[in-house]
Amino acid sequence: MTKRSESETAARPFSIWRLASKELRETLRDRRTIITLVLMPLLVYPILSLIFRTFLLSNAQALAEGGPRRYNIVCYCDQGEQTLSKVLGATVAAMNDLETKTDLGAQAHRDANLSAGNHNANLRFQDHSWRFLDRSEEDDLLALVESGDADVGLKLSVGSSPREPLQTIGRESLGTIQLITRPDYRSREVASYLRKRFQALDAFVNEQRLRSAGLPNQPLVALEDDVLTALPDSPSQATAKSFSLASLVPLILVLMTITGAVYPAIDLTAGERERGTLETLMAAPVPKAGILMSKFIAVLTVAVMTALLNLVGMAATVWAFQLDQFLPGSVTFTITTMVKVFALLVLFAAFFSAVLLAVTSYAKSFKEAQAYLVPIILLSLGPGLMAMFPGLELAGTLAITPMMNILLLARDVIEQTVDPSAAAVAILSTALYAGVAIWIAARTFGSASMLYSNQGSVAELFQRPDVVSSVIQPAAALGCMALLFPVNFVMIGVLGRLATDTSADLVARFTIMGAFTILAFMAIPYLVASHQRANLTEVFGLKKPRLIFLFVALILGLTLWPLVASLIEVYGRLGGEEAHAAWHKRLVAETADLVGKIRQVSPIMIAIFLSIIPAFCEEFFFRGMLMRSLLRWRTAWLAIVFSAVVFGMFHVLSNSVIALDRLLPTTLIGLVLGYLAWKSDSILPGVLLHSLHNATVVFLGYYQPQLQQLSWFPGESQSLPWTWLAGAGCCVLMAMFVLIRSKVESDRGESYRLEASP
Amino acid sequence: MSYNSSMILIKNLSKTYRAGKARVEAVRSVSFSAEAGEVYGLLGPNGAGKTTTMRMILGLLPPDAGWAEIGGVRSDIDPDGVKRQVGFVSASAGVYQWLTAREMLTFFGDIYSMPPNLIASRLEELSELLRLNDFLDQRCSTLSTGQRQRINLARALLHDPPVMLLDEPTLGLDVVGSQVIFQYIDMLKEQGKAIIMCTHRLEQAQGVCSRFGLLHQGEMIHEGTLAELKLKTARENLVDMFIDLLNPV
Repeated sequence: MTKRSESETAARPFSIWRLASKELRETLRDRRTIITLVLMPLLVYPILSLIFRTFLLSNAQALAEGGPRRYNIVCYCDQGEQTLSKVLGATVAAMNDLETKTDLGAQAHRDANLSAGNHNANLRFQDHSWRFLDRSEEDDLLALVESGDADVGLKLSVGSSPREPLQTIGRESLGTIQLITRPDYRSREVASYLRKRFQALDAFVNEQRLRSAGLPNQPLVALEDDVLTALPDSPSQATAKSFSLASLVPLILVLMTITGAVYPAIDLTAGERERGTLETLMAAPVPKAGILMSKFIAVLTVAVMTALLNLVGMAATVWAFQLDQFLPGSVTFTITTMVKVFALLVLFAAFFSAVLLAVTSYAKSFKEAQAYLVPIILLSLGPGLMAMFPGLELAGTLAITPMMNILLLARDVIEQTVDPSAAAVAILSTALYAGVAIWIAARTFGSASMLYSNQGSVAELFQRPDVVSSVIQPAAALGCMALLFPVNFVMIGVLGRLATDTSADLVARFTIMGAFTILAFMAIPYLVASHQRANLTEVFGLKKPRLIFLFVALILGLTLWPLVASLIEVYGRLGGEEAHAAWHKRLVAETADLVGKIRQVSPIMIAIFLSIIPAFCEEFFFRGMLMRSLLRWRTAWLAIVFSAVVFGMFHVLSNSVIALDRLLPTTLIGLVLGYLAWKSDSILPGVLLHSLHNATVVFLGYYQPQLQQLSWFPGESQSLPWTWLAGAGCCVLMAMFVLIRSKVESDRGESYRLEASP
Repeated sequence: MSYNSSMILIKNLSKTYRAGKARVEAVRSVSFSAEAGEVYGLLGPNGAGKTTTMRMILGLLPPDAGWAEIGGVRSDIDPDGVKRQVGFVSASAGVYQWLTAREMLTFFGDIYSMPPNLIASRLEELSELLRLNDFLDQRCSTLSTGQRQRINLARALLHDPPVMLLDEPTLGLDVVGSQVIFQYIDMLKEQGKAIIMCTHRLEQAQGVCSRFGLLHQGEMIHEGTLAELKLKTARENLVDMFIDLLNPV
């Protein structure tokens, strides 16, 4: 007994990391993990690249078999078409000599054709399609190559005094040649062919010269560095013709990441259960969620390690085999791109590891887990392959489709065409899905039915608890939040499609917006809470507040807006004066447009749809369900800050574009509302504050013409007078002082206890 | 009143499983208690509800009714408080294949929040006691069944719990192997631990256990010391009592 008390006094707190490190150690010693982790990338990429090259070459062969594969070469000379044709005529003649009369030349000719990827070695230099441009058509040279009408442009500069071409060949330099190429495979191939031909001719002529006259070696043509044209105007067209490495790379990486995560996920859940170590672990005084998180960390680590090794392996292979040159599209493999792609892979790995754990936690044996996972992996191949379709844009529903959004975003990262708002939506939604999956896994993992019964059913996951609880679990609130995100997103999409021209349009729009807001922020949380048999007054904080809190809410609701406006103004100035002017102009125009529209609607409608409904519904969820469930779980500050940030983020995404200028002010208002709700133990003062704030802002715009006539009201484009700011600031400070001094209303020790149902 | 001083107190534990549409009453209102320094033999044929009872005591399964109390802590109210006081060994308990025995034991010391120096000294003590030294640094996958079970016993004893729950600790062991385990159990009894043991090795149980509970189809049929049971059943030994249970006249 003495020993036990000694161990208790010196007890160390439970640490997920210690648990996770054991899981990792175990997993990494397992040779099956090592095989997927190391051997796969080592073997797969070289093999893939070999297949790839073979495929490309045989593709070229197939083309050659279909007939001679003539190159389209467009030529221009600074001394006009006549000189050009003479010089090239002489070159062709010399080339003919080279190709037909000498063994060496014939061999070199074949080599040039072969190495350029053209298998039709019988095509001779003169057989290709040559087009000469007039002296006035210099600009066309670039345009023809860029548009794809010609494979390569050849620009010959012979200087001011053109020599007789026939004399020139074999005597002196022809001039300089510059090749104009497109950044694609075909153009590179032709350029490579031409360069090799000219080098061969150079060698041939110089050899003859040496033999006949003992003349010194002199280069025939000086080949300048190639000029690269810009990408074709519509990149989708060029990339649409053939599949692009930019969408293949993420798919392979994602599939490999999945492969890396599958084994440890099964082994650490179903495998442990099968070996009989899980029950022992459950018999130890460790929280179930902690065990699950440690397993999640271990699976995620292995998945990320796999992703990293694969990324490195792939980059090395592409680099070593020069695969990037084989492929169309502007594929870039810079370090920055790789870091970004890796970050996306980490996010994806987190999402998929959570999904895997949610599924494998349910399985009783290794085999059963495998049986569950096969359809999931096949299912995820669907969006994976779909993301390969060229021309798909990361927008709308695709931005919130799991896996697909990450694949498309990774493609955009590689092609450097990322749309920040779509990227934010994709990242945020994936993170949320990961959260939901972890929540599901946590509900399944270690439950009695998972440990012992032979026939657990999916229904158990949604089983209602037998006891009435005063608050719901944070996990349920977070799950609800994850559900709100797509609903909110759909609402934005629907609203974006609605016309706003007539007042009838506006009324319809307001009604739809109101319905969505009630559905998302009230109906869904309500259903979740009542399903959990939670005490609704307690969950949503619908208690009658003390009068002092309503007073504070009244003051803050009326006086916060000048501070918010100046905050937005400060944000606008961050980008410098010039950007600020443009930003201000846009803001004023947008506001004027919006205000002009809403003036068509009656003020009562405005008050209901823009002030009361959003205020009540948003408080219901953010300060009600979300914050109050977190209050039970962690400290008040964390709950307030977290709910405020989520509140801010939901508002940032309220348009199709990201309104970043709204993030800071909304989050700050969220902090004030959260603090008020915590102190008063009710959301009702917050509802008052929120609706008053909304109403003030909206009606200031609504009645602006009338207000303008008042002598003391500031003009349209003026900033707020400092007296207003100072006055508002004083009111806010006073209200906050009263709020800070007042006692926390909730007696959490009492109200948060579980009550057995009668 | 005597119940209050008991280390282990089980009151009206009940559990019903749903197997499809049928309902199986695995445990029906089972009550018993055990003192410190006592080995309580929970005996019964297969499917009598012994393992379910054990799991409910430990808080791994929520009981439908009744409760279990270990050292004054109820497993439905503070399951972690109960788990901290209990060492649990079951027949199905496995070992971490890729860890060495020492690593595995250290890990469990860790999750019972023991400081590292205490883990080390306890490990030394236990490997002396259970003679683990020969294979302490071998990977668990290389150990024999007997060795694994000794490791599991060490794992359950590491945090020096006042209560031991042993569910078929000798399953799959040969005569010598199970003999060794029973010797250890005897030793633990001497140390003053309260022990509940389920086993099918009736003859050895007869020697070790101070009291018995005979479970059949989820119900406690007989309870008491061996002498009391002999009086109640008019049988000389546990094996005969068992046969009576299965073939009621």
